[in-house]
Amino acid sequence: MSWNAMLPLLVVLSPLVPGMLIFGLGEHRHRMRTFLNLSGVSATLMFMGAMVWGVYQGWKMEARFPLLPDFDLVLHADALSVLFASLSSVLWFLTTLYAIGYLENSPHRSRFFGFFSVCVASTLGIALAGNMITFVLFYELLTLSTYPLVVHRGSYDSMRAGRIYLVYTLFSGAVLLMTVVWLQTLAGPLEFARPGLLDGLVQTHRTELVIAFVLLIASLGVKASLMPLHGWLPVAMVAPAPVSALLHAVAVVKAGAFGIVRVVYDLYGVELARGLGLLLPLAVFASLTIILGSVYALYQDDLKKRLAYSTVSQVSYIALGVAIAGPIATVGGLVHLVHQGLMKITLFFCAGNLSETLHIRRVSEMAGVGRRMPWTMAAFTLGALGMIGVPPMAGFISKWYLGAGGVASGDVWVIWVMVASSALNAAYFLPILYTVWFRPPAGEWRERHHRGKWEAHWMLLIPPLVTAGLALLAGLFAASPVSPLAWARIIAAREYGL
Amino acid sequence: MTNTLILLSVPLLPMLTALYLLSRRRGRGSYLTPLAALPALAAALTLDAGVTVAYPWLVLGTHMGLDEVGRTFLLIAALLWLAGAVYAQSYLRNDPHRLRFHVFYLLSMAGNFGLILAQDLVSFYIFFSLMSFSAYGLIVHYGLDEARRAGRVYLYLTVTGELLLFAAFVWLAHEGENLSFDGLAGVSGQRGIQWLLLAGFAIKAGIFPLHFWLPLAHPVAPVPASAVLSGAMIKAGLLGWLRLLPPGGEGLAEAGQLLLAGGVFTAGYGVAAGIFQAHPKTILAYSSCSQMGVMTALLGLGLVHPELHDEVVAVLLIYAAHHALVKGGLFLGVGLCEARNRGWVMAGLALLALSLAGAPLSSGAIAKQAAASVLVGHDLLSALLAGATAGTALLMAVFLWRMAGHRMAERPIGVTMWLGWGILLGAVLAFPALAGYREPMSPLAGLLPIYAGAALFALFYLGARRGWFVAVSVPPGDIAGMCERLMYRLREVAERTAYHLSMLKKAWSTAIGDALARWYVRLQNPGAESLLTRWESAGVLYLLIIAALAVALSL
Repeated sequence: MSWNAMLPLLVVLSPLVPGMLIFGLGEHRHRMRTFLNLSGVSATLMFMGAMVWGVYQGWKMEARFPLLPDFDLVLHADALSVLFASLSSVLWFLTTLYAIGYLENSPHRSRFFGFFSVCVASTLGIALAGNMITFVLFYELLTLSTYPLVVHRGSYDSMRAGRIYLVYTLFSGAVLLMTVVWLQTLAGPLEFARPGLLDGLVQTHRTELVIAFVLLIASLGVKASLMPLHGWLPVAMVAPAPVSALLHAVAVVKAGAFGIVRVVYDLYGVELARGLGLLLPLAVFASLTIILGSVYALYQDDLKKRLAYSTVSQVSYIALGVAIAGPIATVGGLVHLVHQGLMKITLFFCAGNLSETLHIRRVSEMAGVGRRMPWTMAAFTLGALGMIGVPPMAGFISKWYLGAGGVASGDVWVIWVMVASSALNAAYFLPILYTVWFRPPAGEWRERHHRGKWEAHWMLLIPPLVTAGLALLAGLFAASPVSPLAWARIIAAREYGL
Repeated sequence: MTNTLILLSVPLLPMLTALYLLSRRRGRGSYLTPLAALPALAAALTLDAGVTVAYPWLVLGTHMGLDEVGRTFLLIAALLWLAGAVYAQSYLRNDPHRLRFHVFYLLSMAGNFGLILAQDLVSFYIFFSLMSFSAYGLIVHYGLDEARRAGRVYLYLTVTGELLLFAAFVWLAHEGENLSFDGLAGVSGQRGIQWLLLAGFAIKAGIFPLHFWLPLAHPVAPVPASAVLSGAMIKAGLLGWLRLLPPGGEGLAEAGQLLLAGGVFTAGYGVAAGIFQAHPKTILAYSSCSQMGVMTALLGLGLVHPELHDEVVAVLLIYAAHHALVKGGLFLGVGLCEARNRGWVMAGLALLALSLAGAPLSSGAIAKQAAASVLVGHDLLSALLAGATAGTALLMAVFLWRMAGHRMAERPIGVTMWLGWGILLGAVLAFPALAGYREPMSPLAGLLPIYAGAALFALFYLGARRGWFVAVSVPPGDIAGMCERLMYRLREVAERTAYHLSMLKKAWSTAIGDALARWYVRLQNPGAESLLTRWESAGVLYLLIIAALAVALSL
């Protein structure tokens, strides 16, 4: 097997193998576990670096394992998969660091980090999947590996959240599997690298194609928290902060959104999907989710819950960008995959810091906390301003491209969706910023630990600062050739053959 | 190279200074604030027009440069920000939140300078937002109830303005690539874009009916902040229109008529609402609305008659410069009213008030004369301008009257306050010489409106004494209260709707979600979930799924 074919496999295996080893470790073997975690992370980052370079150079990277007739396990790297995979691996690195600090001295750490690694391996698998079957396999693996993370605390609330999560995801997973198998019997192996795969079926199986599309989007929409299938997400925020961070920013919701991108662009193709009249309804659902998610967020006092509804809203930007289906809107949707990840993970890290350091979980308890934790809250401010779309943060770039893409495709209403959503984002984030920076503190802080040299444990402090910085840089240098925007442009150019 | 450095340091130095101040404890180093305004002054005085820098990799492609319009705006803004920063040294010496003030001051300054230099949509938008959002920190500085209310109203309108402008800019730049201002001519033909631009910038410029944040916010800020708010930042709206509504574009005549009507109305409305105010700073804020109305009307005239546009722009530059300096000076003077030699302060204020009213040989006379020169042949507008001048004279008389009885909280008067005020006073006095006479000015030319204003004030004073206006009360921010009540009502409705929706949702989730969950739980034995958290069982289940898939596929 050549080096090119090995690379996608190595990327998936490098978190999976340490994860498996961690399961076997004793609870007290703190150092060994940290070593395994960090070596897995560094290996992944290294292989990812090579892969980005390879895709940039146009290498063909594909690992294919025939399992059954017409059923190959395919891992391949194209520009789109690299976008998602590199986001996952970079954020995984920071989240691992954060989780080590966050879970210090708490029980069941081997189980936690084991599943954590498996979760990332399956996310990378989803990113690199070369056909629908491989995608579904990793998608199911993701469901199973995140469940133990959601219920990690074992409290009544988290068990309930886990139950709801399982009902939603297993059910949708079953629908997804069924639909994929059905579609495969109609069209043969569903390879992403074969454009126009389903075009031949339009004449004979038009209705089937429409039904399959609806089923696919609905089942993927559960993880992408497309309304009205979003119910699990705000409940699942009871999970420990690093889990919420990864769940919301990368792993689960993005897996769904990424799946939608794959289905529209690589399975059906934009022309076919538009021809079947499927994109406008998707755009409408995405827009409704964007608006309604923000409206729900307005009414949450629990900080993580507010952030969760914000995720519901923001992830649908990706679906909207895909559904508008022009090169500019595509850039906006794809780049938001990265931008939302960076900003949202920052916000969740900060929320975790507040609860871990000062027992603060509600917005109403945050008065004056900017004086006690200036760095954390500075990172939070950057993330929140980015979500509102204040330039030059990353979120501004996404909104700019989505709005401009809407106008370019003749859908001026997209601008109004962006405006309404930004107004709502401002309405639920600006009061937090006011409370944090301008209100005097209500009383003594309830310090969880003895206060050290820094405002929080350094492992909790570094990751949000890094991600906030990245979100700022991604916006500030958006037009440079090494930004997420530049990469999203490459993808759009290849997709539309520009 | 040097030119580029100077140009870049104009917005960058204030930002870097702000960062530096943040890294210092307890606001030491705030003496650096005036220095941060110096590159802007240097750039406006020394750089040639046409110096540009372009960074295609920055944000969405950044293009900054100095043109003739920008030079005037930059020069005036630099003077005001410099004077305010000098003034703030003593004014806020004992303020516990001095550091915070200086940081927000520097950031707004960076935004104001940057938007003047910006030559493309995105850069303009970035600096405009930086200025608007940082100014919030200046407005709520004292943290009192009225400051917080003003801050809230300001923030509502600012966010609205930002959103309108975002929509307009995205629409303008719908190619998704960044657009330089040069490329805009002829693009803005869409009526929707024009309306968005009109409303978005009208908020900043204080044009009725979007003006009401201004009489609330400008007075509650600390004095140096009021000066830059009312003198410099308010002009960003005007500059935005100048940049984005190129003359002769399709459908611009209609936009021009709107500007003309809104401007004329605001010019009168500012006076009418201002004379009933008790607080001198509120009167000054209303006067700013009125003056911006005059400038807006002139701009509208230039759009309706494209052949007049170049001339109108030249007039607007003079008018804006005059108003900025005088208004800044008036605000800074108010802060000095507790000085021991109050007589001198009142004399200075009277001089400034006369200048604003357009007394002969003053900066105002130049501005009014210039404005009158483009209005030749438009008799109605000429009459309205004379009326506005008389109204300004009346408003300024009321201001001096209120000022005479005004007391401020005990504050030490420091030497830098005199210095800062002196900068603006000097600039106003030197203005006629610098701006140059366009034609020989008759010393009596501007007197008639002043007399009219004085007569009106006499009448007003008499009326006030006799209690004619007891029934008339205009709260500061006039329609702000109404808008707040409307917002409150809307919020109530929204909350009630949300409540009903949440009930519906609860019904939905109990009916379906919990049914599913219950069904699922019944399916499992109680230990099943804890079993799932063991990794072996996850693996086994996964293998089962794969097996099921294999079976399904091979069928």
